[in-house]
Amino acid sequence: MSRGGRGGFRGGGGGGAQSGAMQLVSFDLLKDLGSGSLFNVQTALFPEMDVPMARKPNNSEATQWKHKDECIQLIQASPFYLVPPPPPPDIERYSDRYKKRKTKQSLREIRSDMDYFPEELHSILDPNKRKRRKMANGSGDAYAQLQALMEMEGKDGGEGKDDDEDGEKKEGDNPEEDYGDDYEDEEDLVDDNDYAQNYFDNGEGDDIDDDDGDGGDYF
Amino acid sequence: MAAAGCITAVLPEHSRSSTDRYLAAEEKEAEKYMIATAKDLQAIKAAAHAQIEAETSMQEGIGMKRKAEDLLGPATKKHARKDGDEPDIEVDPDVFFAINYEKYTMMFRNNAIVDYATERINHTAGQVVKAFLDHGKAKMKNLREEDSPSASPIHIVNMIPSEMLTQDDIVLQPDPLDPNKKPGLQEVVRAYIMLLKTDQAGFVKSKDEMGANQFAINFAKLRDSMKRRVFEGIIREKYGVATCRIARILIEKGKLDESQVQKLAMLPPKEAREKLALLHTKGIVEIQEVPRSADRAPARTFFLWYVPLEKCYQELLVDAYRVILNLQQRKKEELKIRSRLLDKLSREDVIQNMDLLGEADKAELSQMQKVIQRLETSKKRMDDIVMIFRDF
Repeated sequence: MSRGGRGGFRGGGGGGAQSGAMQLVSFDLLKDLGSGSLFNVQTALFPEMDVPMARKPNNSEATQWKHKDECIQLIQASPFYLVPPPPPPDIERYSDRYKKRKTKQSLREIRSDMDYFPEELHSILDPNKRKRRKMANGSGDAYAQLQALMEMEGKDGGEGKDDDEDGEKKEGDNPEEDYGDDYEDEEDLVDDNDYAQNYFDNGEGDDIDDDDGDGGDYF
Repeated sequence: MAAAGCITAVLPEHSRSSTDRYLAAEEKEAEKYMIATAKDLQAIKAAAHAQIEAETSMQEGIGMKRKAEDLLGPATKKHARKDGDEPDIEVDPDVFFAINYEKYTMMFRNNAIVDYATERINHTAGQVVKAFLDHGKAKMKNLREEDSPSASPIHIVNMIPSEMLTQDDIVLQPDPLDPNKKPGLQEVVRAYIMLLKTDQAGFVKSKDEMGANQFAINFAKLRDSMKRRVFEGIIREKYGVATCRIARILIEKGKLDESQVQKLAMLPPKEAREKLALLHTKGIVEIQEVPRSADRAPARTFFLWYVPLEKCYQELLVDAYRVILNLQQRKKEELKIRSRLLDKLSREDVIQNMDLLGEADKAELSQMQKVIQRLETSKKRMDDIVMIFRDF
């Protein structure tokens, strides 16, 4: 059995540390060959070890694992377990029709009390209070910002200050629907692709004429 | 479940940080004073602390109201309706609940204690210990307690089914009047409690404060015994019986010179020296130098060996974490190499009809389930060890 002689794959490199030609051999074949093919050198890191086998699980342990498994399934089915969305399909495959992802309950549908969330998040969670968020962000003009501040102070006394802080710190606490807006903002900011145009010469101008390609592009 | 303390109510106060609450309470107290001297400041702090403590301790009954009249009221939980004996407490539907992990840890801990008693003495002794713990279950709030709520032998007799006690597991003094009479239930229980009390692991200790012959489970000593047992077991498995003997001698006697160790362990001096050196490299024993002269010449100092228990326990805990990590990594690896099979399994038509998989696939599936079960069981056993060392 491949478990026998050397210490098995427990401490070893397994999938990562394969040598050149070995990368093409599939793992199943490797198991049959035994680990002698990877571990030809006896080093201090991987000494010969006699790994003891664990006792078989007794009845109560087997039932405990079943319960734990159910628990894990429950958690994964709950709306709190966030997974990244799957990549968009490149070509249409036959198995697509069998691989539909079950839509989970979304986080918004969970009944919760606003009291339990810190005050800074209230405007985000409750869609009614959203409008004041982006005030301090928009114009770079100092005068316009001052104007906006004065207006808001006129509208609602002391609360204006809180909301300004709200608008300014919109880092990690964005809910799902605001995520799209932020993403767009970031993309707009990174419009200056002139670097690629200016400095990355793809080797096109090399053969023809040195002066022509790179002439006026270095600012 | 709420009445049993398995889940607790969550209040908006829990979402605010406790330091904030404390500062707010301090400010409230400080309003009473115009100019605060140093003593007043301390009084403010103490009063704020006390107020917060009172608030937190009042939360036990929150979320539940006593029912006014009819037991079969509409707002009861379904579970309670099925039982005949319904408690007269109803759950407030507007309050949020969360799982009380401490209570569950306590239940696991109690089970571990019962297992330990069963292993060390016998099955009936385990039942006696279990009766002790069941008796005090409702009152055990804190994991860090020293003793369990106390019980008298009469309570225990009521809680254990009587067939168990007439199994003749324990040898008692025969009644001088009638030598053939079987011992009565109370005497058997009392004898067991005495046995548990005098056992070195320190299961039970007597609490005679109320004068009514009460006993309680001694958690403080049990913590030590269980940790030691795991520790010694590991040393025996890894390094052999003789080395374990040396370690146990050092744990029990304190700091010893090398020649004393050799005499007590009944080993030839060369072997004793080798094993002590091995334990030293693993960090289980350490040396304390006691110089004989003013200059610390090595030829004229005593070298005493000892076991730093707390340090060893910490090291063991970290090792246990590493083992769990290895197991988890191995599980991930096993799932990764079978990713194609897992893809097949997540298809809807396969979920409904397992026969669509070929023979090799089914064999592979059962092999995978066996492997995962073994890995998870090992993880669970390591988790028990972590529980003893960390949460007990």
